[in-house]
Amino acid sequence: MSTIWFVDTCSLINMEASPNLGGTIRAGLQGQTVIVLDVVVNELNNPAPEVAHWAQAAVSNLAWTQTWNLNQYADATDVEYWQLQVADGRPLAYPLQHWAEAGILAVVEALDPKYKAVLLLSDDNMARDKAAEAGCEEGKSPYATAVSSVRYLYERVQRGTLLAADALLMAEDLHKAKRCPEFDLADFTAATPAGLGNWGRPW
Amino acid sequence: MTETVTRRTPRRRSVGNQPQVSWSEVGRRIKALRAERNLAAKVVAGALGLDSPKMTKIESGERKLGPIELGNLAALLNVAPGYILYGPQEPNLTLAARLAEGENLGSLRSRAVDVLRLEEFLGAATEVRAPRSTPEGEAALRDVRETFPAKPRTRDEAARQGRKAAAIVREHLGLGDNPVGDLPELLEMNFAVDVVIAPLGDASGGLCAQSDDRAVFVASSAAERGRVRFTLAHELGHYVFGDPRSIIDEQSGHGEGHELEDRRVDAFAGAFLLPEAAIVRYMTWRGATRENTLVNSATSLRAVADLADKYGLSIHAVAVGLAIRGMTPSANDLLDAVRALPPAQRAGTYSSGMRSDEVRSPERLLDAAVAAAAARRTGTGPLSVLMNRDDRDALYDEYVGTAAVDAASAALLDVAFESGQ
Repeated sequence: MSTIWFVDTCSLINMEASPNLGGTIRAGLQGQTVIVLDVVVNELNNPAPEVAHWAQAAVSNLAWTQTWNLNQYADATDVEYWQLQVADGRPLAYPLQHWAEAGILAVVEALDPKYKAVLLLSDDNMARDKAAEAGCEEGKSPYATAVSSVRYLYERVQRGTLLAADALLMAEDLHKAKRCPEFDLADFTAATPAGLGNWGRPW
Repeated sequence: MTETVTRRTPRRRSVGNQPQVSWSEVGRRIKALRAERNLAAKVVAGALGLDSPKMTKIESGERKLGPIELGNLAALLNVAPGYILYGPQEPNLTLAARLAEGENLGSLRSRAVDVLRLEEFLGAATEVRAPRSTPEGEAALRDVRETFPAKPRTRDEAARQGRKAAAIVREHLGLGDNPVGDLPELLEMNFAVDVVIAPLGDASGGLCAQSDDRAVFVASSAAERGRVRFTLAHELGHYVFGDPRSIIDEQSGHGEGHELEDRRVDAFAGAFLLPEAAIVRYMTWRGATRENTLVNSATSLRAVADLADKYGLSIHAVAVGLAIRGMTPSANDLLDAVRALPPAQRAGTYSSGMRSDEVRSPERLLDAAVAAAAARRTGTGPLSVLMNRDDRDALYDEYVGTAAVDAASAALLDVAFESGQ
């Protein structure tokens, strides 16, 4: 079964905000197909000032991924459609809110059927909610789902490939960088990701 | 690096009715937006990394915009990508479009626009009931408008008309002299209006906006509770008298020439929420005679606080009602005297003077948002807008129910994590 990961802007920034998290994810996804869309690179090149240093580091640290051109897979109307779906009825806070994530969802929707398991590594919780909708053919089970970087750690802990204490340290890095709320050890060892709140969704 | 593209069969989209894009219209819009911002075509082309001939082709509709170009253009022109593709996404005559006109809308108008625009999004996902009135509400509107076809000419006439209209509406709705319980619900049910309440910063006053098929009242709950109800009753006054203005925005002022209408709807609001007969009966029962009310006796003051609470009005509004009836020489003095009572004697929901911070959206939209979220046709976004809340977890739990672990998602995670380890 062919698996493919798409990584979004926020996750790449968080992987720089916590170098341990970045290293863990890179090592965990080694050997798999990991895609960063050019629209994500574009966002990293035009970051908000408060994350500029992490964004810059992320751009120079993309060798572990493949870059795909969004234009190749989706047109402008597809991306705009997904932008509104991710916004889910909320007014856009700024014109390009969710734009890169919408680009990923448009690609997921159009992806080659050879990919049976499509994963979004996304720290935009609203975009994650739409992964299964984008990756689902009429009448079939979804071929796509999504995890946040914290949920990624949770899944590794659940599978015994990462210690909960190490996962917590990385989550604390993100919390100290004001990138996520505070979690505790039990959130990573619990039977469901409910303790992670929005960062655990979708289940 | 890009792999050879073999796309999946496009599936029918289940949510949203995407309009058709006209690239020549897109080109015209870009040109107009560029002109508004005093940006030369060459400058825009440079910012997008295009040469001038390509920019010309885009503006003439001969060349489509790719998603990256559209994103860059939207950022440069500071408009949503959807605006560049489709223009204003609602007919110019709709209420939301009219409310959104101009800059610095103010918090009341902005809130109304957000809620009204949500209806279109929800309508693509689920059935949204149209606003409906009751025969009693329609009869009340007809009766008031036929009784008072002209504007008042004097202050006294304005006050008389307001009080009489309130009595007409009360009679049609069968309210007698009783307190009005859930005022927003009464307005939505009987008069087919949408009622929106939210703590809108320092916004004061209210908003009444109407078109042929829609009306919306907005009030800020940053004001004290009784004031919020008075504001809504005031907006109802504008509506029942058939005020021809499509947008009456008290936050930005009524403009000149509407003082008498304003006085009329204030009288309407006071009498609608607290009929004169109710004041007399209640004060008499409490032993608050005209004589001891005039001297602000403790008995009268407590009765005033309780009356305010019972009828859901601020003490100020009750004091004004008593002053109009000659039961107190000064509404302000009476207000000060009641406020000086020990807290336990004026600590009711309304008479305490506390702000409510209530958030309320039209019931029909809330019903649709819950239905759409429960059916997974939307997320909690519409609920988040309607309830003015960002706590998505709690919204899920309160309105949708805690999600079960999705088996399909769990299977995909198993595949992905096993192939990675």
